[in-house]
Amino acid sequence: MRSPLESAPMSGDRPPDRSSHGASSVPSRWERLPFAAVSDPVQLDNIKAHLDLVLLALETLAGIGSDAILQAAAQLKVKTAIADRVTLWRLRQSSPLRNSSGGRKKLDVEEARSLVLIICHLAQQHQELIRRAVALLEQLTEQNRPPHHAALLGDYLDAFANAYQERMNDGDSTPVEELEHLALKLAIDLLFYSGPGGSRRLWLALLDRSTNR
Amino acid sequence: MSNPLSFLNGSLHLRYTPPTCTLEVTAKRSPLSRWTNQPTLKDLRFSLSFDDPRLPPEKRIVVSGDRVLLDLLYRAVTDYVQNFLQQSSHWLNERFLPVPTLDRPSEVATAPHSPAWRQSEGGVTYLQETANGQPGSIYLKPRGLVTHDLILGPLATVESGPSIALGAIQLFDLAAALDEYANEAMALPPLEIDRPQTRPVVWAGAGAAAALLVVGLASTFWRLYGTTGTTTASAPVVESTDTQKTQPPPLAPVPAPNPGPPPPLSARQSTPTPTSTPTPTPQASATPKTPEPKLEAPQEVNPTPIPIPSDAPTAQTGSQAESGRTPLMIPGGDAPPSGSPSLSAPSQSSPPVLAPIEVAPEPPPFRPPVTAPEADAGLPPTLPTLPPTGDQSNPKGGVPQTQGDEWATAGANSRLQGSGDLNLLEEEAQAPPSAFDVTPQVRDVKTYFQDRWQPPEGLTLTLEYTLVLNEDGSLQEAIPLGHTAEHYLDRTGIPLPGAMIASPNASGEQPRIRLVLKADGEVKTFLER
Repeated sequence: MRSPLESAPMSGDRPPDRSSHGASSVPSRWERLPFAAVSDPVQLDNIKAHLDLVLLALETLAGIGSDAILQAAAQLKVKTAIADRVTLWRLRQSSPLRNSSGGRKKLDVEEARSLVLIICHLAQQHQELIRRAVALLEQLTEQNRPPHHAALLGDYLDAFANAYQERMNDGDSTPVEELEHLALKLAIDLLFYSGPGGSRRLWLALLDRSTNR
Repeated sequence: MSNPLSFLNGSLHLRYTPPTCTLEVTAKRSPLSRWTNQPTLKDLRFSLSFDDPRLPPEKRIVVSGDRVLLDLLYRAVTDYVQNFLQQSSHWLNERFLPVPTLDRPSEVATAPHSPAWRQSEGGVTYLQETANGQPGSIYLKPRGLVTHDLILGPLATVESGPSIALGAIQLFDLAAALDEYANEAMALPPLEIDRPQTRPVVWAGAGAAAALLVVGLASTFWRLYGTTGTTTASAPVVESTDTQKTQPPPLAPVPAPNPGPPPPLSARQSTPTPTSTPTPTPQASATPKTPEPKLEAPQEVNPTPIPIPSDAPTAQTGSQAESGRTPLMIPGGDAPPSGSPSLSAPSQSSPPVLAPIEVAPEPPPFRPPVTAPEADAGLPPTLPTLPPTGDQSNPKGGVPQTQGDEWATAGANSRLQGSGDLNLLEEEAQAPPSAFDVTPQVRDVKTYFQDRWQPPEGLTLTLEYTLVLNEDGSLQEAIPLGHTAEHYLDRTGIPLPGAMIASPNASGEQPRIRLVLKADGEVKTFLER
């Protein structure tokens, strides 16, 4: 059985809307080849979970909602993959970490790619905020003070933990310390995703997750 | 961050100024340019200033080096960042989605280059050290979540010490500057690959020559003047591009309340020595013996004063440069922050003015390491940092070897076009011409099959095929040459027509490439026409 990522358009048969952002219609090799090896449903689940969590961090740190995500999709001309709020919701609900995962179509490479582009686009838009959050974290760490001492970080950590506990099926059982560590790590990740080459970095991180050694 | 790209007074000057560091790259115009239709560069040097806003300007650290070191630094940083980002994935895997097939060592570092994992206070597993912690190499290691020690290895100076502590922001800025440089370097024609076997000799020779020169000059000076005035051989010729301001834009996002500098030094790496890196030791930088004088001041661009043997200067055709940029388009969607070029948008990232420039003496920057099977000239320069797996973690200080000959020959061949330089001709004599400089797809195809070609049991003959490619790099037709080749066609890894096996051809041609698959696993490719 072919994986959804394998059966998704992978190379020369890309839809024409790929050529947005000044790119050609020729797919990247890093985008194309490693995903072809992703066939394990568990690995696909990992990708979905990772993308969902990065989006969760963006949402709770920068106050981004589904409107902004859809708007970014339109700007990036990836609306075919993420057409509307329902599609987005179903995409994110497909994360195995979610309370009610299942019942959604499988993630294909175009959807994964679209989410990567959207995340990095939004991260870039909010780079200043993300950078400030990371700078605060650096300062507080240097001073041996908990991150909650900075309002920006405190709000973010609370929002992330609340959203996680509300939406994820293990939300109640996951220690808060773990959630905070995850939230802070994702905030730093977002900083790197906001920079040049961010989408490549996120893509490769996903691949590492999916083709985990 | 803006990059004032300038080509002034015969020198190339690239400058990248994220808030917490400044990367400057300079190169001189080579006399070779007289015989070529394109500008040729030589003596590429870089200077990296860590503009830690918590430190006064006079205490800011500057490291410098040549293209080899810049390449090593780039790889170290890029790999480390990618590893760092993947920790989130690993954490998720372990925490939520344990997969039985995972054999990543979670507690034990089995090999020197394996990632070591440990439990943090919160019970969260994260990467403790990156893969390339070789003595004498450039690498990073984490110290908590927001601090990273950059082990300078051959970049270390007396002032810098063996390592620098970078915050997360600093690491991000450094990675961004290097990324941007890498983007622009893609606009330059790919250079010859480093040749590890010969480079140490070259460096040793250069070092010896420099030492002799210095000794000679010093003794002459001593005899003439009877003073102890130090006569360094450097007498740096500062390119007249210093009009740019030293300080980066004051973008430090948050003033650090703690005035004390971060612990800059690490106990490790006190005596780094060159191992796989064919570069002088950091200690050597304190003496005039090194052919690579360290910059004392951030803005003192210091072209190599001693005539280092031009280690296999290379020239590549513009077409290759064009094709090299093409795949940059793909990642897409990276809206570049504040006008900085994005990997995803080659039209933004690569000023066309750079395209015809040839860079002579240094090995190509950011060539994919041997561990990246998909590496080719068409990939973005950062592709070598494909997620390193436990068993894949190669020393980052290593230099690609599998393609070295190809690049060397490619460079040499293209130089034949117009060079009358005797030194070059000597090197060209060692490198037979090849077609790589005009058709990068030849190398792409080779890379593609090197990863796939597994000689079937019992095969003793060499298989040959003619592959006709479309302009976009996809396979149009595979023509077996001979019955044996036809018989084994389905076991060669040759994909169905339409599959992408190479980067697009910049000139819109449909190259015919001969693919030679040997029974011992070797893969050869060359252009048929």
